Amino acid sequence: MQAIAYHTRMRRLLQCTIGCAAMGSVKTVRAKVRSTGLIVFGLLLVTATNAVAQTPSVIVTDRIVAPDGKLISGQAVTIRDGKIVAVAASKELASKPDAVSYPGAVLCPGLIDVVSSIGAIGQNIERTYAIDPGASAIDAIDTRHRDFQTALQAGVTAVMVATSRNNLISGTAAVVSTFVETDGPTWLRIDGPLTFSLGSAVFSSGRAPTSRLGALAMLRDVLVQAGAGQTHERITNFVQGKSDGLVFCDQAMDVTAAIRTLGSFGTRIGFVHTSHAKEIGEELSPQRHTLIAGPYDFTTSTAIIDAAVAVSKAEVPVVFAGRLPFAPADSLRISAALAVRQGMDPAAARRAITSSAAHVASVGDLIGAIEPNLRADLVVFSDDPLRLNARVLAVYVAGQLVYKDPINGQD
Amino acid sequence: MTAASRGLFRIRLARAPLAVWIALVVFVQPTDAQLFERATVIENARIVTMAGPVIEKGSLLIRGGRIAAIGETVEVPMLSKRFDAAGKTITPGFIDPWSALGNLGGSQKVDATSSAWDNFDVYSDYDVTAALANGVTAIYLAPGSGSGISGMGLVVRLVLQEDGTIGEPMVDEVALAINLDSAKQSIARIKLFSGLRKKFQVALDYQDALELYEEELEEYLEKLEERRKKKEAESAESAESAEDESDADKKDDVEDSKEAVKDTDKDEDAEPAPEPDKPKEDPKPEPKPKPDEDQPNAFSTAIRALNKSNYEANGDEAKPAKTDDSNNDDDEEKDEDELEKPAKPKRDPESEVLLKALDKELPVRIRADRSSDILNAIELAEEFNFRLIIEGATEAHLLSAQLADAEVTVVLGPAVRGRAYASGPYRRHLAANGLSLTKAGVDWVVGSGASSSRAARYVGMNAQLATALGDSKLDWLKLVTVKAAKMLGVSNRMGMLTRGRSADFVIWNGDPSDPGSKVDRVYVAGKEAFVATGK
Repeated sequence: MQAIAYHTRMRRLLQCTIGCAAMGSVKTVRAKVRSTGLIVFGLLLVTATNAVAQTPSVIVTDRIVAPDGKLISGQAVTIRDGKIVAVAASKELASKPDAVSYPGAVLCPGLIDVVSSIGAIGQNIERTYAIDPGASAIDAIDTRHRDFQTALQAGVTAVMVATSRNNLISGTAAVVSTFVETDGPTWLRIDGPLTFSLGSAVFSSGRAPTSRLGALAMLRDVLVQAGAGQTHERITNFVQGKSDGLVFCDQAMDVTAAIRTLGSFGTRIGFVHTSHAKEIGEELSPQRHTLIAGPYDFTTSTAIIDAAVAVSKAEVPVVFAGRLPFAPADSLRISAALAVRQGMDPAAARRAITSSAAHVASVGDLIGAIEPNLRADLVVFSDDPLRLNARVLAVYVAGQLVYKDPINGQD
Repeated sequence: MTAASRGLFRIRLARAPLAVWIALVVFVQPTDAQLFERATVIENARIVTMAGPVIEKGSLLIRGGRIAAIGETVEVPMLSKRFDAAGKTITPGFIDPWSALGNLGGSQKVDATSSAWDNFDVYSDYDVTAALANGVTAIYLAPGSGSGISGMGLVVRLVLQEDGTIGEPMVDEVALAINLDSAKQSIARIKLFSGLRKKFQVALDYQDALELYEEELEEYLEKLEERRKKKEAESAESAESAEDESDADKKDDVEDSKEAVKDTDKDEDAEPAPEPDKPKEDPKPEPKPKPDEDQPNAFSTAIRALNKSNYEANGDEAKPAKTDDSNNDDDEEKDEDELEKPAKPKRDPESEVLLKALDKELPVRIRADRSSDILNAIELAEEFNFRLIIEGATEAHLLSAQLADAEVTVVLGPAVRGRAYASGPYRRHLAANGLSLTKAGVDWVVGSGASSSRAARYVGMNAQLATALGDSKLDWLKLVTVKAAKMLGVSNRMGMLTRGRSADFVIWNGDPSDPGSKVDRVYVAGKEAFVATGK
């Protein structure tokens, strides 16, 4: 993987060289030191010039995607220690050392897929207990899976993997960076939103509940117990408004039932539902609820896309699900483009795959927007990411260049 | 002339024009209002002609369904409709080179003669309107997904007709479609492939049989002529002898064949071989089947009379009975025997279509996703020497060198949601294919695929994705205009906005690359096919 940190390799090489030098005798050491010094100097020079490209302090592009989703020009981004430090006028910053420039390009926050199964296909299906709050999605994810690399190259820098959809309550989802280094993955959020499911997947003949009636009754019981502090800590936290929720809904009726039962709890609840969004749009609260819909492709009926557009117009945040790896790596952008074609505000569409997604995944204070103090997870696109002919030129994770388009990355 | 006659003349002159005018009005009625059709001029638009540099501010003149003039300024004829398209962009209408728009679907029993048009729902106005609203003005309609040879595709223009139906077949028989993708198991695929080879072989045999028939027919006619001349000379001497029906029958045969030769369109399948000559004086009572036999007329009577004497004079009676081998024309016996007309091979419409493909008149589009199927298709094309286009081509990236060598054109499908870990062919590797095909120099276009009627409207977006992933140096607009038209063989009529080409174009209120940009109007064949309702 070219993504293995260049500077770590260099560091190790340097250490080896110095170690070798130390082995020799005093006389030869001097000679050795000189030669090694020269070599080291040369290497440092080479490393230095490369290191700039690897961890630039400034990235300059034609336009950037602002936190509100709009495209603004003339601004550049300053990065330090893997975080965005400032967003300021590019004229001053372009001339700084360690600045890297992509003329004509658009800088976008790394895209986030909130309904993904990368590395966890088949690993998170638990049917035995209807209520399983102790499960943690991180236990199901194989971060060495190559699908992470595919996602990264399409500009998706973080994914949320939920626990099972077969349980009424099934533990917490996890958010992980798609850039995986040799020493392990970077978990952006281990204890993410608490996952609920409503729908026929939950009903099982082997155990309760076996119907929506039973499911909702069970859910209410649990919430009552949580109020009295008699449930798992995670459920109690959710009920007390200390954590977010994620609810998978099969049908419109499930969404309505979920809103009625859970809607007032949790800080933010994301409802995963695509087909009948039209029918539930009015019931969602713009401040506390988010609709997670999609992914759409070129065969999706416009009625379904129109529903999400209508919800968005009602000021309720809409997030597009990518469902990687089941959908093509570009499905987030395809969904966004199709929604804009059907009338969605382009700024809302850009937010749907970046900042709104980050908020629903409980990592809104960490990634998802180009603003100070957030991680420098950035993607350089050749044009507005909503345009499908825009391609990924480069991907930065925590300020480090981890992918460059082999053909076109030469700016 | 006298004053009086001058006056009379003037009166006549005065009246004459009136009569002339009345006559003109009454009798000269153009059924097509072409003469009086108003030209349309679209002005001040940014025109992407795809045939040269973009015209930043220009005008289009449409007349008779075609572009009569295009440039920075055009001459505006009288009475023309003028539209100001300031701030808008005009592009050629998009062509979807692989579409199922309006396709009623289902895999009926089909063969090479089936036309995709039969499967087209002429009332599917919703899908067509949606396609027009996204800039698509023409599609290649693929036949339904039968297995093996599925019929012929055609180019359909998306127009809303006056009678409420939609679609107008623009070019029939654009390609012969073969589906290699339908068989899942290896045995089924082997059977399918060998079945195809057989069909092509049968077509070649049919061609040979037809050629042989033509030769034999020529010989036969020549000999008939010779004989007739000979008999003419002799008949002057011989008297007419009243022969029975048997002779009459035989003569009718000859006469029939002459008629048949004149009437080449008559469907004479397996014309019954002339019955063996029974060299007896007894009458042959059975009447021969004579579907074309008209009333005896002077000509036929004369011929009959002529031939009666011929056969009698030549002593045909002694001739042995002929066998049933109708294609035989024995030279030795021709003077003694009755000439037998060679029987035309039974008409095989399916082979006729395949022959067109073998003559390179009709390209063959083969739907193949697996690399093994693609290789089979290339082999078939090389063996039977036809022009090959591969549809689908999901694993083409493994074979780009072979495709380049065989000069195959590829139509890639849409980037749709695939099932991860599903069997190989069903994951759409748009990126891998685009890149490797471009590198190898294989010509490719992108279509919406034959699985969904809805996908046709997004062929533009699909092309955008294809260029981003596959060939970033290619302008995505080219894929759905110039390149698609060229592949379908309609580039002299569509795909570019130049003088003389069909007036199929789209007026966008922004940059067509921008998904937020809306289509304002669409013109197909010079008429408004879609007008956005301001919302």
